Amino acid sequence: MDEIRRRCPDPTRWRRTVVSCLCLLVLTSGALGAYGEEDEASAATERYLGVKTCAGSTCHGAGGAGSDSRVLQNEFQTWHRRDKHAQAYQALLDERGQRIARNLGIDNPSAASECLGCHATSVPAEKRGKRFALSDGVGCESCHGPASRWLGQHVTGEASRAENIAVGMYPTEEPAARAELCLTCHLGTADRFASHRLMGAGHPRLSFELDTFTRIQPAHFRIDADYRARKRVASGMQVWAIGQTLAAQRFLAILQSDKHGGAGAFPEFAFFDCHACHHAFTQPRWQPRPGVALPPGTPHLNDSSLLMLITLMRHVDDAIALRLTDALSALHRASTQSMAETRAAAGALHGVLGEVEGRIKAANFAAADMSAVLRGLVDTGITGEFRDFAAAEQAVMAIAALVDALTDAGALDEARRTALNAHIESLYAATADQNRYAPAQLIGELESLKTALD
Amino acid sequence: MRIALSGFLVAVLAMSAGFAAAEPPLPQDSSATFLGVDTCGSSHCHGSPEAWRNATVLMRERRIWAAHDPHAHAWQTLQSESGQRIANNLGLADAGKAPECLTCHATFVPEAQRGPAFDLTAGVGCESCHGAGGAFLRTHVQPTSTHAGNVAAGLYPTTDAAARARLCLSCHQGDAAHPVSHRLYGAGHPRLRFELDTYSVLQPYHFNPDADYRRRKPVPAHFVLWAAGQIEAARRLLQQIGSAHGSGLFPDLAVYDCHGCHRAIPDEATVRAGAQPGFPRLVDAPLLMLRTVSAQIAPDLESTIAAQSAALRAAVRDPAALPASIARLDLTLEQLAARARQHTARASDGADALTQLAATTAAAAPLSFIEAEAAAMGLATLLTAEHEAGRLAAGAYADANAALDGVYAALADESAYQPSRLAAALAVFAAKLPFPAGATP
Repeated sequence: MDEIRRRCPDPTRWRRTVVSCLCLLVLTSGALGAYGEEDEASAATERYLGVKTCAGSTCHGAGGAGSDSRVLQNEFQTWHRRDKHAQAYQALLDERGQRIARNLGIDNPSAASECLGCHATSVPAEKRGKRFALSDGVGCESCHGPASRWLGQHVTGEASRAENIAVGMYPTEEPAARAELCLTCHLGTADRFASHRLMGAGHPRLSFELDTFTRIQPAHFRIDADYRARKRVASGMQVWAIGQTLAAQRFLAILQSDKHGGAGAFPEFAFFDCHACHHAFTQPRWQPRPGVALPPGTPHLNDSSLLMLITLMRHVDDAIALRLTDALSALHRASTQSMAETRAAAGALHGVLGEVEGRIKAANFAAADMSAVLRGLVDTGITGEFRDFAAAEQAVMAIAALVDALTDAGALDEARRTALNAHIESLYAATADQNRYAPAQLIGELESLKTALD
Repeated sequence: MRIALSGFLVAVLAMSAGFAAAEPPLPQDSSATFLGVDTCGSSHCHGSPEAWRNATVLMRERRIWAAHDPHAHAWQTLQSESGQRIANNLGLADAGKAPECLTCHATFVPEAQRGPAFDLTAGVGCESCHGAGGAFLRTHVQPTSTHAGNVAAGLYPTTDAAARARLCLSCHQGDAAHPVSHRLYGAGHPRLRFELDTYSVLQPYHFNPDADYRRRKPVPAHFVLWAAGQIEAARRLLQQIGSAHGSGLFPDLAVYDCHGCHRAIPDEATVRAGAQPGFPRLVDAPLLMLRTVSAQIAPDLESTIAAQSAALRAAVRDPAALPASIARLDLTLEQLAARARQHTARASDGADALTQLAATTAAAAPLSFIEAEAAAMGLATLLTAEHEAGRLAAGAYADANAALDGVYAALADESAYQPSRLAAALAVFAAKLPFPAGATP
């Protein structure tokens, strides 16, 4: 948990903290197709040209901005030195990666599509350009798309952002597009899902929040007037909200697919709350969770993103919040019965999320909204609703994202910002170790934050 | 006609139920009247302050039970803080009145069968194990009574290893009438753990098997009790595995290894040879113990039991194959149970079993915590029995016992259990065993 935390803000606003999750992302052509204007001819001839192509010393590897550049030109250096995506391929070869592979019966993880799908820019050999190297890990084109499609017009500096996107550059600045892209690996797809078999072999648990992870990646861009002139800049709150919505939708879509029906006598454990089972055995710990209403000893689905969305919708539209709550309760009940009933209930909940998505995409959140949802998260957390570790982790990231969003909106003076960030440090400390996490400690920290907010 | 019909029925029952036809009903299933602890344990019967000099039994059994035996507090524990929390988690208003709790925490029989001195709050009392006093009290108090006569009248044959195993395990492992589910565990009930010989000794016994006692009743050897407990536990487990699967998205998790899931998420995962990563294991320690049991009493069944146990473990990955897999193994275990009944106790049983158990547990490493616990209890009870029978030199016993302390130390904290540390401790113990492998004194 500590590895995905935000820290006290530094003066440049962006976080220095790095992601050390092993499991990083790669862009799939499927995700790209949803946003790029794909046509079959260009898809057939497109090439991934490799990090070296982008990282020339007069391009994105210049180490600093030239006088007339609209971008930093040190993107390669930031990625290479500080972004864990750069080590995604190497992670397959280190001791831990080798051990996981062995446990899975994989001889060479760096040649296994099961691993490379997320640990490299995994594209077919015929789409790899001369300077392409799989060992670059999750590189430029994993996120920005195959450069052959847009490199020519891009280097002239003449093309607009819209024109670049039109020929296949990925619109990473759009929160929904970015969420779709990141979630491809950080949660998975029906075709590429980090199953419990992978976890059981030793792969770290996946955990993701779009706004937090964007900031701690760290970003290799700076939002200034020039950037704003070219690209839409969504508020941190909207990035968070869209990230949660799309994560919940993706989760339910994978749950509904017939590809992850489980193994033998069991459903796919990766859909369920990890720590409901994985906790030390000696201390009595079960307590009813208000929103679940399942008997003791019953595994329950990981509903952390859905809990965030219910709290958000209580502010945006209480009627939708109620429908979400009811549909989630129905899903929890169905999850004790059968996979067929679980999938049906997931479908119904997916439908309600469509309403949520519409409302969030249309929303233009102001400081008052950020403040209200921040209080809502704190109040709901105090009731114990976020007692599951996955929910606690999401709540802490959400609270930090909203405080940052309020800061960006100019709604916090220096003293208040400093005070709130001290509370966020404590919240991160309470969720620092998944194996030692105590819900009561988190609730205590939330109560303390509530006093500071009042 | 009537005689012919009943004769036919007896024959059919005998054929269909096999040996089960010979099994006496459990005390709780008796239709006689339960007279209560006060009836058995008055000061001039089994509640005497001192052992009688001329009686065949101690006559102070009730006092031993009340002072030392946790069964005496079985009902009270429902009222404790943890008892109330468990009941609350299960949605029960009062555990002291809830049938699902009382069935194992008291002599829980229908109201109509409770005599005037019967008291539910006495917990697991005399008649929970010995049977309804109303059935046999009259026979039992006669000066001319015999043990066989009392058993014929309804006294439960606790001296028979298999019958005792059935009785104890009805609660200590559960069955249809005493359901144990993961819901109960999830609510906070302690994990059930049992080994027949160890728990018999620790209860503690309220009898002294002296010459006089042995004239009246058989005294099963420690090895025989240990073996009977493992066979019964395994057969009961098969029933539980069968009924745990089939309804609901999950099987009842109580038949799966607790610590496979209930452990911290480790930085490094170890996957046992032949296991699928991330897939739960059955909590099947008795099947590992049966390797030793079968080697001692039915060597011809040993490899079949091993193969069918492995097939059962694999079958949970293919639930369609599960019922047949359970049935096949149970058929073999029925033969093993018959062989156990026919087994003539040998002086070398304990030593052979110790050697064999040390070897099979070493070969099965890494052991789950529950397997390791079962092995440790078996080794301890068999080693102590050898010592008590005078079959070990004092120094040899002290050395082996000290090594066994190391095994128990490796099991002191189930949350911090390390299979490699346990394996090392078991290896030290095996080296201290005073019997060379393959030869017995």
